Amino acid sequence: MIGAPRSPVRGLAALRRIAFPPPARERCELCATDIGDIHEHLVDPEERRLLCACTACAILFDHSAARRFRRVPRDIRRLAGLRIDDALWNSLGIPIGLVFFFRSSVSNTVVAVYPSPGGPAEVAVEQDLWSELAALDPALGALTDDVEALLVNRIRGARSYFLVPIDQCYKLNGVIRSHWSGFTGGDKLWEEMHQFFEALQQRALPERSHADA
Amino acid sequence: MTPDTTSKIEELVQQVQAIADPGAREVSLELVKAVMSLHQAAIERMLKIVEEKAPGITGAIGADDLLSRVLVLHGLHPDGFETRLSRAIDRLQRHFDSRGAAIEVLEAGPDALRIRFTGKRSGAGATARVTIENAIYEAVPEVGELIIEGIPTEHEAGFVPLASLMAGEPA
Repeated sequence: MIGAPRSPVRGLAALRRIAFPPPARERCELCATDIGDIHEHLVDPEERRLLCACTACAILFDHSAARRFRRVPRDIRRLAGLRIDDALWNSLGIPIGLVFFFRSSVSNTVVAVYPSPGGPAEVAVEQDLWSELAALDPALGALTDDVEALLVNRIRGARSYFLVPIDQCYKLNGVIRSHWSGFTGGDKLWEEMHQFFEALQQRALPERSHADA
Repeated sequence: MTPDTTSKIEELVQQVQAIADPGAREVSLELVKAVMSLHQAAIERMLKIVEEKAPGITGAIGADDLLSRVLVLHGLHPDGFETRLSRAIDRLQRHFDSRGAAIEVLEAGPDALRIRFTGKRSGAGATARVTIENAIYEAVPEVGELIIEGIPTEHEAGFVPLASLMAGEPA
């Protein structure tokens, strides 16, 4: 069922919206049903756009023949057993220790996205290098196209690796965009980053040891 | 405040929101917010003072057309959400009644207001929609969102109904 659309705000109410905005209501971007703060996400791989969705739409659109949208999973896992040595890392040529990798069904390559003063920068990862990386943990070879990512934090001596739903990467981009200052990001950003990874750690499923994997 | 002033403000707000440069847009919005907050605080004080000197006068102020709009705009109207809403609905019902149409409130809360429009003639929708929107937003601009059922938007009615093509033809 298609709901009636919201009416545009008219007259002085438009002015009121600016000064005293009403609290936002989360709604499904496909069918306009009200959804809570915790809801499903769909990604549009072509447009690289994230949509908030109700569960029904998330399932429906993920299984539709055209599959324009893919349902974003929820699980976060810390890859505690993963070790990436500096030589392999440096060969990737990524100038910063904060990056996420995902396999794009559109370009059919693994893409690395990292923050830069000009906004998120992205490079395609050479297949050989990715194979070398993926050989380190079976989870990396099994990344679901477009919706799952390897999130790497090697900033200021950290070495943490997470398997995350792609919406977490969008969220991280948002944090970076709101707090980046100067040429290197600034202290405020690194404090926010720290909090982001703490929250990620808390939401992560219980760790599996490397031997179980 | 003439309808011209109102629509001019609406238009300018849209223009400010559409400023491409995020810095310039943010500054403009902050300026509007700051000025509105200043006026809000001042009007609130003023109402308090006059009400102390002349009890009951705020009712008369709220009944004045211009002052009512300004009070509603600043969230300071003496009548509450429901009173203002039912007054607007009454007025709309009278308006549509004489035109063979009707409106019905399906959901009424500060978060969302859902109204169903039933009209006899097809094609009368677009004007009716604007009439409802203007009346509701004028009375209760704080409503989270307004949803009008029973009138297709221009976007939805992208096709031209056959009936409307034939309407102009001589029988």
